Amino acid sequence: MEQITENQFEDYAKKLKEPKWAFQSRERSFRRMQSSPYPPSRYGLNISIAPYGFDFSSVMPQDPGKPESGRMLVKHSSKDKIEIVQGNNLGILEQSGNDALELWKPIIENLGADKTQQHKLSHFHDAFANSFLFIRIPKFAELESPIEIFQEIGEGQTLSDIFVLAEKGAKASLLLYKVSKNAGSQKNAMAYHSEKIALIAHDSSSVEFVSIQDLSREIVQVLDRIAVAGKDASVTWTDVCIGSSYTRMDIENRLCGEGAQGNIKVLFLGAGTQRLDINTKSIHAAPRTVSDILTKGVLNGEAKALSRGLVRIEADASGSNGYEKQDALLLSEMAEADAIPNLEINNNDVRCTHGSTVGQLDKEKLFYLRSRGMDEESAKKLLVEGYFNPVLDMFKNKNISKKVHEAILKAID
Amino acid sequence: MALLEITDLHASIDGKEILKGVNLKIELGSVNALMGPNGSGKSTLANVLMGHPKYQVTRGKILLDGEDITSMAPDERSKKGLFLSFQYPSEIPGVTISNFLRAALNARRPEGNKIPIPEFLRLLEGNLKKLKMDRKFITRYLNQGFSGGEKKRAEILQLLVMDPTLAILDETDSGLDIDALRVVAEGVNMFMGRQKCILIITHYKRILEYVKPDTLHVMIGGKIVLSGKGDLVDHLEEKGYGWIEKDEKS
Ligand SMILES: Nc1ncnc2c1ncn2[C@@H]1O[C@H](COP(=O)(O)OP(=O)(O)OP(=O)(O)O)[C@@H](O)[C@H]1O
Ligand SMILES: [Mg+2]
Repeated sequence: MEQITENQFEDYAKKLKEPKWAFQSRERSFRRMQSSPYPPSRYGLNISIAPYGFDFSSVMPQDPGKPESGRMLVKHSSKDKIEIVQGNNLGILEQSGNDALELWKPIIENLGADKTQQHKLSHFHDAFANSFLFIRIPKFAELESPIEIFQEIGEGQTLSDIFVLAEKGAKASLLLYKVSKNAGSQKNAMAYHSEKIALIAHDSSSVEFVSIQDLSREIVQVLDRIAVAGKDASVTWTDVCIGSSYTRMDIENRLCGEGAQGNIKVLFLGAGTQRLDINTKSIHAAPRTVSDILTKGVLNGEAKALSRGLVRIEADASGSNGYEKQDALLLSEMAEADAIPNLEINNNDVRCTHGSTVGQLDKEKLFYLRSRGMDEESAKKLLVEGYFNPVLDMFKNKNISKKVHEAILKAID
Repeated sequence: MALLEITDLHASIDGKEILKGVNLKIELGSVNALMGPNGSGKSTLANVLMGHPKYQVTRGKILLDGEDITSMAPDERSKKGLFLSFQYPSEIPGVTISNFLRAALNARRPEGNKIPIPEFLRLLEGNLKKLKMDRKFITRYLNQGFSGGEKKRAEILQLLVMDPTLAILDETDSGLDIDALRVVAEGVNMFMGRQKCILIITHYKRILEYVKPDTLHVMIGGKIVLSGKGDLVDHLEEKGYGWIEKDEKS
């Protein structure tokens, strides 16, 4: 990233043929990128997590690509008037003919308000993003089945942005599937992918965003999710992370309206030399807000995962309730899991708890299964499946829990 | 030829010898009881027979149907018809009884020939009925939060569904209420047949009144010190184990 020149940036941006405001916004991000640091990869004395055999500084913007590269395929069967705008540049907002620009521009700009906090990879993304999807769910619309989004990562560099706006009282769930065909077809080459998702949940709305990711092991990805929830709104993130070589994931819920709820669930399965850096945050900025974070995964081989969680209760968030739990199961001697839970409490009238467990497969349980005829491999699989099942039971949407279950079964097979 | 033949079996755990030369034969079609004081090595024997990796067999051998299974993996032993109803069954969170049994049955079928769901349900429901168990039970996670008695019933349900040749019941009667004991004993009798055999490890006479043993063995200090007919239990009920130990020494 250090070597990216001014000229390269301008060439890239020109190819996108975006309106001026969008170009200027990219330009600001490009400048910030030049001066900001990479995200840290060391925490304290003993914990470090970085991509295996990959250096962020080698990332260069590739050609923005044809409009269809990295394009997200959106399917929904809702009769409500969901508005969808998509394309490979921000010009689509002006071209889409309705009030899309007025609607989305302030959201794009406001969400970037505290960009000074962000790291180089995040600014790189904003400067070079080349796949956009905007979804508006109108007031009081209640979607019966999830909006499904399919995306294939691999050919060319995909830096995608998804914005979801749930208007007052809207209820929706979204399901993002990410797969990769033949990434890294050039031997030893790692493909870089990043993605930002923003979810705006207006008063009394309820949005669930589920993402199931099974990318090839040649992909290094950086994910950033943020949700802002209004009064009595509820936002839920569920991330099932199976593939990729390295995933860094930042998920933040900002509970800004009284009674808002924010949930985060990250389920992961790692093997080989996979690396997973999970950062979750619940920010309670209004009274009587409720948050719940769960990260839970199984690691085999030399895989490594770090889960950092923060629950921050701001001074005016009395009566709030925050919970965070980080669990991992290690299947091999070389696998490693670390958890760094954090609570920042600026109000006394709240309840906040956290817990974390890192364990191995119980030998007695394994023997019990084997005594019933299952070989070691199948017994382990069944125990791993069982490790996740109680989480799946908590899903209200059985359709989604079924899909997540299928993804887990496929991953352990 | 006996179905199971144990000769001079020595086994240790963490370097401590628990089984000190066990000899035992079990014939097809026979019900066998094993009794003995706490800590004498009964569960150890049961676990060693099933192939628990935490024990080391240091001497002797176990033949099942003429085949040496002394160092065979537990799943292989299971496939050869051995079954252990555990004294303390493990809790398996996240795995329902139904899923568990299906996986266990599929494990003993050829690859790609899974048991069809309707056939599985018929088998399961038939056996639930025999044991007077509620259908809801099978959707619970195996042994998780089960009462002592429920765990034992779940073991017997597994016994009936898996239908092994030799069943070792390690204190399956302990912790059962009067009615449950009768139901479980009836279940065991339904399992039993001419092509089957059982080793019942117990501390109490009551189960042996339902499931009549042909032979009774007494284990003390990691050895079988006395074997007799089933009615030996009356003598033991009355006199305890002390007299055998004295006899042993003299
Ligand atoms: N890890 C260990 N290290 C040393 N001794 C052990 C270990 N595990 C078990 N033992 C001992 O092995 C002996 C036999 O135990 P076992 O469970 O086989 O007895 P049991 O006859 O089944 O008793 P009970 O009737 O109480 O069920 C006991 O004295 C026990 O303390
Ligand atoms: Mg015992």
